[in-house]
Amino acid sequence: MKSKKIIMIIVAIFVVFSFATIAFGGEEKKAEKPAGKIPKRVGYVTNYAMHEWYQNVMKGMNARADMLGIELDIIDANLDMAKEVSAAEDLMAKGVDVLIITPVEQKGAEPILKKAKMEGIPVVIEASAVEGMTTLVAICDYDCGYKGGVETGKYVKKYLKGKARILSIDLPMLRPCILRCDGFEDGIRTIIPDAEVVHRLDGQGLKDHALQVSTDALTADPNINVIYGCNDDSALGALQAFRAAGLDEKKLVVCGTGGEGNAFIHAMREGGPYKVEAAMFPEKVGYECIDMAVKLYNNEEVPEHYVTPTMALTQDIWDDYYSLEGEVRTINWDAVNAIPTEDKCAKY
Amino acid sequence: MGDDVLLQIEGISKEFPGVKALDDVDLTIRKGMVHALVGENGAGKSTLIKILAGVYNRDAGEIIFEKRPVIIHSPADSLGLGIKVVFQELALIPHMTVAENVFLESFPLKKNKVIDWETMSKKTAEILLSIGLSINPKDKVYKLTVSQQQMVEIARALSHEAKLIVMDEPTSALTPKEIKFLFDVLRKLKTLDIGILYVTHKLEEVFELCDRVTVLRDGKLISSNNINETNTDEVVKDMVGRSIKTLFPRTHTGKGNVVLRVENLSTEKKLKDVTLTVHAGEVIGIFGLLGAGRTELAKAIFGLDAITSGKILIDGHELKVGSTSHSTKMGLGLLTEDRKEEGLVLQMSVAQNITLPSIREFSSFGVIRRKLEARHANEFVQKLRIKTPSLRQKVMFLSGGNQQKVLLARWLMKKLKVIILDEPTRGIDVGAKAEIHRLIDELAKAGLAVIVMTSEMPELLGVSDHIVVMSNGRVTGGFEKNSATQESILAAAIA
Amino acid sequence: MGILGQIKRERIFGKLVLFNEIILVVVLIIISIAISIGTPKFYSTTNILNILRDSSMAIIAGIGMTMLLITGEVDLSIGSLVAFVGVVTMDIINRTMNVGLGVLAGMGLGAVVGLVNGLVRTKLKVNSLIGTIAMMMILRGMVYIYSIAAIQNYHQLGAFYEIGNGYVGFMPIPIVIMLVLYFVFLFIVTRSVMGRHLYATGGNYTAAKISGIKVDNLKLLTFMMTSILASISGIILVSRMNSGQPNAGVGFELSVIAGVILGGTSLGGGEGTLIGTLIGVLILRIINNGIIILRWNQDLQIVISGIVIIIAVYIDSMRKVARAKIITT
Repeated sequence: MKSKKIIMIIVAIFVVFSFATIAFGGEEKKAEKPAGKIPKRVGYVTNYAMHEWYQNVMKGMNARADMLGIELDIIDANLDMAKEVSAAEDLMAKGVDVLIITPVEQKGAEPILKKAKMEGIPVVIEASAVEGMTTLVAICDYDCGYKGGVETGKYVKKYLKGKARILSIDLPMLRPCILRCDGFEDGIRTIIPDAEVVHRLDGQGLKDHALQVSTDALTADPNINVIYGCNDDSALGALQAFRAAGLDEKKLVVCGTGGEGNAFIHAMREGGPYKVEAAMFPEKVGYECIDMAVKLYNNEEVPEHYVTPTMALTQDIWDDYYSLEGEVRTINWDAVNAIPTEDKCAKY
Repeated sequence: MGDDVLLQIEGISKEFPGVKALDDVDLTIRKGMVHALVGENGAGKSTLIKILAGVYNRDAGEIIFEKRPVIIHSPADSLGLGIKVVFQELALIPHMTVAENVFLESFPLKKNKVIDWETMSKKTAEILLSIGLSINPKDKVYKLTVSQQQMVEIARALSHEAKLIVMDEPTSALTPKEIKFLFDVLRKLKTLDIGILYVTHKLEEVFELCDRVTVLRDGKLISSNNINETNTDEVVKDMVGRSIKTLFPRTHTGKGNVVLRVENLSTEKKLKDVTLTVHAGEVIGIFGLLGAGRTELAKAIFGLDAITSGKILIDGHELKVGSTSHSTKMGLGLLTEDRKEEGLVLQMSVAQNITLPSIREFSSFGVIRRKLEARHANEFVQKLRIKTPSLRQKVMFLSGGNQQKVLLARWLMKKLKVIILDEPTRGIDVGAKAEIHRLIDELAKAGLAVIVMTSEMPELLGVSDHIVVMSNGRVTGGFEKNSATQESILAAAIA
Repeated sequence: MGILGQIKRERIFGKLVLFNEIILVVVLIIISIAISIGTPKFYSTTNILNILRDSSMAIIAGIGMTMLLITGEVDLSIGSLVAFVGVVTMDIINRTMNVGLGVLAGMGLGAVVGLVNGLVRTKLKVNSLIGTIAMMMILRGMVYIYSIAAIQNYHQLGAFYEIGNGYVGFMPIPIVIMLVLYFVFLFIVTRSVMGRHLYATGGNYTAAKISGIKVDNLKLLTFMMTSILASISGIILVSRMNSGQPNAGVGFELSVIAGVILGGTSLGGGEGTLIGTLIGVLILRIINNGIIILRWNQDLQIVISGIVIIIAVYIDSMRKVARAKIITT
């Protein structure tokens, strides 16, 4: 029958279409739904929701949870370890399938792991390692700084006559910051072997303190031409000091770290000396936490430290990864998901 | 040296930067005797006591205790010898019990070095009984009265088997009854062969209780006599270096209009329905025992404390309740009982303290005119004979008497209508006392209404035109100067 | 009593009192000389102006803190206030494109906070240490509620930039602001009736009250002045940082108080001078500056500052003990 044949062809086309859609569909390449079951409910206890970084981590987490249809409960421990433990217990009692924890203190989070194990609830740790954990989702601080250093070195070689005299603003109280500064110095030395760290100072990670110590450093050594900050506030504070000293911005390159908020985007947009951002993509961290939660839920093998991507963004390419409207920034998942990551950090 | 000599001090000298506090002083104290040590402020009495207590080290001289020369470097040395000083401020630990305080330096221990609480309690009770006191050894010290606390200090001395007890101004906070009790206890201690050094301003006590009196002046020993060989006038002369005619020169007795009228004044805690009338040029003396409510009355009238009912009228105008700035505007002045705590700003200068309530009169557009201020302050320094090297001297360096004069100058400068003086001569030596009484007289002569609160009977009878007696927050008696007797006043005070 | 003895005593102690400020000046000079031996950069115009410009914020806030301490009170909330003022000022300037409005908003916020601090002390009778610590926490929380992220400078208005970075001739504007405020308040504290009242209120609250001084109103006013002055510091800071940072001013209150106490102001009230505060703040700032330009280990900043403060407080307490001994002989 002719009509039957037409129907068959239409159905066949339809089926092929469907398969093709399934095969090539979904939103992004890596953003296909992970294999296996999707947990219904995931709980996240963050250590300090008021910080811009965690605001964006949670944004990424929520976005991914929405994509997968997971119900996400977030509680803020507000830097209180005791509160974090009781929040975790509340979530477990509520019946979450997986827990994600950003520990307030590494030692203090161990009881949470023990309890979760008893309840049979898998736990994803974010940011800093806890003894007895299954997996940690975090960036590699050293490598992040290193990438920033390499990119900055390239700029110095091309535009600043190949001589690097560095002012590095650190936060020695926190090991991740020390790693970033070390990484930056090693990175820039691969391009500029005789790069000199003229001052490496403690700016407490705050813009006003960075401004104060940089003012003094620049008085002693006004010939500094590279500024590195272990976070964006540090770099921007030092930049303000440079400007206030009346020194020539055209002879300066600034590299910030983190990209935890929008400040670096504003700085990059100016087209001034802020040329490099060793970005850590907080939204992606949140995203990967959810994916890791799914993997744990399915009892998959996971690495002890799952590294999330870091990258040296420059003024030309930052808008491939982020867009900023007013003060709302949107991450470009395609681009960020395509960034290659390390398996392990070069230094811990 | 006699057999009964307990303590012999020879040629003791002590110097501080800029001043010789003690200059070659001798003193002999016998067992079983009460030896009085008197002198004006700055005469060296407290320096001498502190040397005995081991707080200061002497520069020169010998201390011979029980016939052996001794060196006292620290309070521990002093206690070890058997010398116990009961300071005016009392050195008890308020939140510990009586027994714990009595045995503070040497808790009785059981064999295993644990504190033997039972023995401690028992022994404390025994000691207290021996001096006629029935306080519970387990009571916490802060709950006791000042008099009882003093007794605990004495008990503490006894627990150490003290041989010499020094009493430093012991009666300033005691009622007459408690003073009598103290004297009985001290007499009992005499029978135990304990020597007592009694330091005081109050000459009537010296002549009532003591066996011998030593006078210091400017760090030097002036005289030392048995009590029956001397009299008050001679002692005063030795203390002051000149003779004082009379302590209470009350010349003016005329009365003007009613200036202050207090009607049915009550406060929450103490005062009940107090009514008082004071005329211009009149001195009202208010007498009462400890707790009678005199200071509360002073503060309530002035507006420092809240009132629950009643009115205060100055020249017929009603005073705003609880507002000290209104009180001063209306011409009211208050010299508080505790001049250091509540009256003087110790870190400020003489001139600044004098002009404090009047400062606006010496300023234009809010800026102080210093020369004007200094001139006026100096006027009063001269008038009141305040002893100070300069107007800029900080008031904390002045002696008690001069500090009191500064406060009086403050109020005199203000041109007040009413002035309330609460214990104006407490802790002040004889010379300055006379001057203050003269000033009170002058205040009245100038037309002020003066209220003097005092617990010293001689002062009360000498200074007042009219006497009011208070007890338990009420007015319990009123007497005219001529018809008042000690007995009738005391009777009203106990009512 | 020996008047000669008394006079002798008092002359020596009169000297010792003046001594205190002279000691500070001597310390300042010694440290400055020591640092400039180590490096010629210390005495450059740039460095001196930087030190003064940076210290201007602490000195301006220190003026208020000194007056407040003289009355016997303290304010630990100025650090959080500086952050809040910066954020609000930047935000208002962004929204209205009017620098004057932003500055008024910032100072207004300071006035309100000072008023609250003052009322908590005078009406609720809460100890100012506790009360202002509570305010410190409240303000810090509120600034994050107002804005979690730093507030960027959208319009880059020239007038705003000038506040913290501009010059009058060769003199940075923050220094000019500081000098004007300093001399105005110096006059008030040393020559005016209000100044006298401040010392009396702190020296002896009851005595001041009995003398007719409106003590509570005075304290309230002083709290407000402290906060308004701190808000001016905050406005200078936000201009220098070019963004309103909610995390600004951390530890500011402590560094101001350290300078004030080093300068001889007593925590107990009734004592203190603005001259002492000026020198105290400068000494601490110079120590920090010297350590960096000499390339010493930065951790020494706190160590050396701490030692200097301990020595200064020790000398001060020795004077007080000596004084006390004199009173009781």
